[in-house]
Amino acid sequence: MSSLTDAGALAMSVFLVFLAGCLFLSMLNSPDLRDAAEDFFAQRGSSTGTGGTGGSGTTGVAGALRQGLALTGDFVSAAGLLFLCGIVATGGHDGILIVAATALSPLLLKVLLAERLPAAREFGPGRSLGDILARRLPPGPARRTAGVATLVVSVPLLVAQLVPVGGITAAVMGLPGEHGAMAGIALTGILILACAAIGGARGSTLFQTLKAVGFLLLVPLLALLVLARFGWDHGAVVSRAAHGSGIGEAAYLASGRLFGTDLTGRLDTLSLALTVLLGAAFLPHLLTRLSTSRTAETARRSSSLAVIAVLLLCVTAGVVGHGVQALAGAQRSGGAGPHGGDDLLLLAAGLDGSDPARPGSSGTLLTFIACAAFLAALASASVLLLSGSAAVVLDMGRHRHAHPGKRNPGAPGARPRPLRARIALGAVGAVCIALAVFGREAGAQFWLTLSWTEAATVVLPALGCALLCRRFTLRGLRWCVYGGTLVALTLLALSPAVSGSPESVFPDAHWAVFPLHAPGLVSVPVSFLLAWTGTRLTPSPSPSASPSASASASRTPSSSSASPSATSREQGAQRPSASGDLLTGTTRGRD
Amino acid sequence: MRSAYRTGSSSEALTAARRVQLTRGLGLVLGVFAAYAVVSCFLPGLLTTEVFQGVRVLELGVLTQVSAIVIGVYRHDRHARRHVEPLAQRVVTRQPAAAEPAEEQARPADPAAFNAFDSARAFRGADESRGTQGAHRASAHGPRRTARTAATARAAT
Repeated sequence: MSSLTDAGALAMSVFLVFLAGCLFLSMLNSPDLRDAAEDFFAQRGSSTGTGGTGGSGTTGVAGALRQGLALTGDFVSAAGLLFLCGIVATGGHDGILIVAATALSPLLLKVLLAERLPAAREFGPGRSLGDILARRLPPGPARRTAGVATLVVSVPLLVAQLVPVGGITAAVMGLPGEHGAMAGIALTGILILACAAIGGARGSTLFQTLKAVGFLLLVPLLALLVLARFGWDHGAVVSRAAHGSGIGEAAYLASGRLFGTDLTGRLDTLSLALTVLLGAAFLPHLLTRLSTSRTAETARRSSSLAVIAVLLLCVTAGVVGHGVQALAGAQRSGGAGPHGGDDLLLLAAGLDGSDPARPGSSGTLLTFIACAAFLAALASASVLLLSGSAAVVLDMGRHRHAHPGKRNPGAPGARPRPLRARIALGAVGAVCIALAVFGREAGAQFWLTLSWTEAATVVLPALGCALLCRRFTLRGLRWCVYGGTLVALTLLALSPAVSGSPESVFPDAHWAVFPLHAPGLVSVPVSFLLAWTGTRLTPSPSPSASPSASASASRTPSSSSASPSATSREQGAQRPSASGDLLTGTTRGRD
Repeated sequence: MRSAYRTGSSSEALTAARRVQLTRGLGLVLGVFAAYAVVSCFLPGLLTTEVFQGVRVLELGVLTQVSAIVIGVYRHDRHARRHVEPLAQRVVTRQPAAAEPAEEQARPADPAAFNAFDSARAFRGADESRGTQGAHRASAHGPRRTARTAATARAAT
């Protein structure tokens, strides 16, 4: 009984009660097992889907507010926020540049695609990336390609969520050493997997909303506490942070703290910022969230709210990052992982006097932050698991040839059941937990960089060309997705992030021949070039082909994908819906 | 509505309005990012220059960026409300660009389902104006129906 009075045991009890509450909320929001998997992947009534309940309250200001909060939660993941605080603490002005890129990325998504993602009623909601691409391209191959793109982005991002929150869980629960870290990651992963499998889209949306509200309260609160500690003088915080870094104010405030001051280092910083700007905006679960909006107006309003909320979080994260360096100092920040991935723990420790490295000394603020971090990781990982599961079931499963919104609901066994979706979710989750356990030494920043690079290299060209370019074809999609993935993975494998530096995945090996840690500066243009080349090299439809034959080839989804000619498959953009594309400006007026 | 959007057809005006919205938004985002990134990476000494009473160029730059994002959101939404959506509604109802204000009150039957950025729905009236029998239904139910209707008509003749 005496151990229960101990502060560490009390913190662990609070944490366990919090876990039980999360599971209970998931059960309350669990979808009916008799429903189709579409209801497991998208919240009922939140979309234009004919199967929805009409979406009461999902339009207007209230609907946009809910959607905007969920979108904010989608934008700012737990690992992303820890990464931002850490990179400001250790990177100085270079970190501020990364934070600025993060603040701009939701605005980029808003102006480029947000209002174009909600579908017309006949297409139904986009429950996966494949649903969005299948509006313009042949559904079967486009969905399969989109499924691959979703998995190569979502799996690393999910691993990046599990690694830091596993460490925080191990710190709160008093699990020391390597085995403690592994147990923390596995325990957290299994709990998150259970919550996502039980709650489905409704549960994950609720968690994302709670997470966004929590972040919007917690991070500004931490920033205010930091400012209050230094007499409400931000200049004093920066000066103290520069003093705490141990290198002097001039060196701390100089550029090149992340990757060096030479030209390669500056290009490396620029490449990382560009990767964050383009990658954080085009994550598949963000696009799916926007594509389930009922109208373009709802998507616009919700994205406006998300832009402002993310901006507030980024500004306060910058203050918190400097506060971490000021309160914890360089010596303790150095032990918080590459670029200070665990710095939020150090800040909590600095503010309430606890020690996260010593089991049983968890303070109140540390426990509170651990609960918030777990909730954030739970929410982010839930939507990522659902995104991966939708990619497997909807985009790569046997129903991938169905047109968006036309899944033959009357056919027996035609609608995938939630059981299949949950099995796929469990498989994706198991792979991610294994990757997180055995790849934890790589650090969350590596997995985040990998995910953002893939998103910027693969999803941005694929979706941007599919929605904005009238002549984009299936071959262009395949070239940019498969080729872009290959290029990004190859460049990253040959970069100093994997080998050749003390903070790399394999510090003792040296095969880094590509100088940039984040290869977005090269891989994104290459991917766009591949998309353009693939589209240009698509054979034109032969003039001898009769119009009726081409019409019958595009008549039904199954016939168009089951037995079309190679030319008609490659000419995916020749569907009549693209003929009135307003975005390219090439369509003449029809009045 | 801006006078530039009153010329030509409603479709052309809508195309121009959306192109302006896209280029302005992209220009703002990429311009702000490029300016900040170039200064941060290639003119590092400028950011630490003190302007007055301890306030550095970096802090002013952050303040400018925050303002630019807020203004960008406001202008993007205002442009959509004032130019894009009325033109898109007009295209759906097939009214001329210089329509009287009273005619602007006409709304489609289901405004909640209207998507100003969905070209297939925005051009629904184009098929109607051609007088093709069944084109309204075909367009309303997607492009595949259009192809099927055309093939059926050819087969019937």
